[in-house]
Amino acid sequence: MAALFSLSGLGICHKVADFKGCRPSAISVMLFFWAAAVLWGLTLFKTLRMNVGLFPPFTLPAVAVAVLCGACAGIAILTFQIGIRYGRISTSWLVINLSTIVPAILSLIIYEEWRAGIKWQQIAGLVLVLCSVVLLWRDKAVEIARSRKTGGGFPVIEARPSAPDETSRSGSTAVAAQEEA
Amino acid sequence: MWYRMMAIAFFANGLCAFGARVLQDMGLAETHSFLYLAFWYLAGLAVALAAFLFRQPKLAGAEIAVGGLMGLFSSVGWILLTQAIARGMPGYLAFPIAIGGSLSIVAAVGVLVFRERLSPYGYLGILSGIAGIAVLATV
Repeated sequence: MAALFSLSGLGICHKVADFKGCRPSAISVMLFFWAAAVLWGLTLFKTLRMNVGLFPPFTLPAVAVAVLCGACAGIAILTFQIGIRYGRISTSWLVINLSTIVPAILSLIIYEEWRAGIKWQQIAGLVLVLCSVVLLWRDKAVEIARSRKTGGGFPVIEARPSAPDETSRSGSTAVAAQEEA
Repeated sequence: MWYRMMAIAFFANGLCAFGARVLQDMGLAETHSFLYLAFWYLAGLAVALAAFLFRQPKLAGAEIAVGGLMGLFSSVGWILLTQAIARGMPGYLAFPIAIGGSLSIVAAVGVLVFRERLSPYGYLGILSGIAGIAVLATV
């Protein structure tokens, strides 16, 4: 639950960043930079306090997984920023949010978590959360359609003339150029 | 182009979270989560920095401040999520709750604090997300 609220704080900051007109690519860099600084600070503090080596041999597989997954996070943000110029932000946002299903399914299949027994509350809760993601996507689609009619300001950055997919544009207030998510 | 980019983003975004579960399977989640996340963010920074420096290498004050706050929330969130998985929370629940559930909370804060107006879908989405979290909290 605490993780849920922390990650919610991250989402709220996304809104603040949008309100302040921050560029998504700059925000991504600063997010990774400061988070890395916090984590490296904690790692070194723990290492010094407990007087253990930073890189005993058995941590190498963990480091390999971390580098691979961290690079995936960077690639995800980058491809999302590029892809969003060619399609609707609402659909793109749904794709990103539904990707939470990837680690969930991998956990179930690879580690056979279903063998431990699944309670009805778990199934119901999971279905409700996924329904919520889809409903919030629909809400965003309605918001975009409304802003198109009124010429309003969502998303905040104007479309780039070079975007190839004309059907995915939303006029002068388009989706397209929102540099990031 | 959109499909290609979104397919990559979908799988990359999903896979980037799965490492926490792999770490737990290695038996290192309780002892090495800080080191794991330190390398995780460093690798992400390398990719983000390469793209940023290529295009717009200047930062504004607000970007540094808001980005710093986001880095703090992100790191704390991931430390706690990794710890939850390390302590036996199944991955198929931890990821959708923490990532999917936070969407509802952000939307609710948007309505209550930023006075955003949602469509009926939005309100239903918030209710559904909060109900899902409440149901899962009873397990």
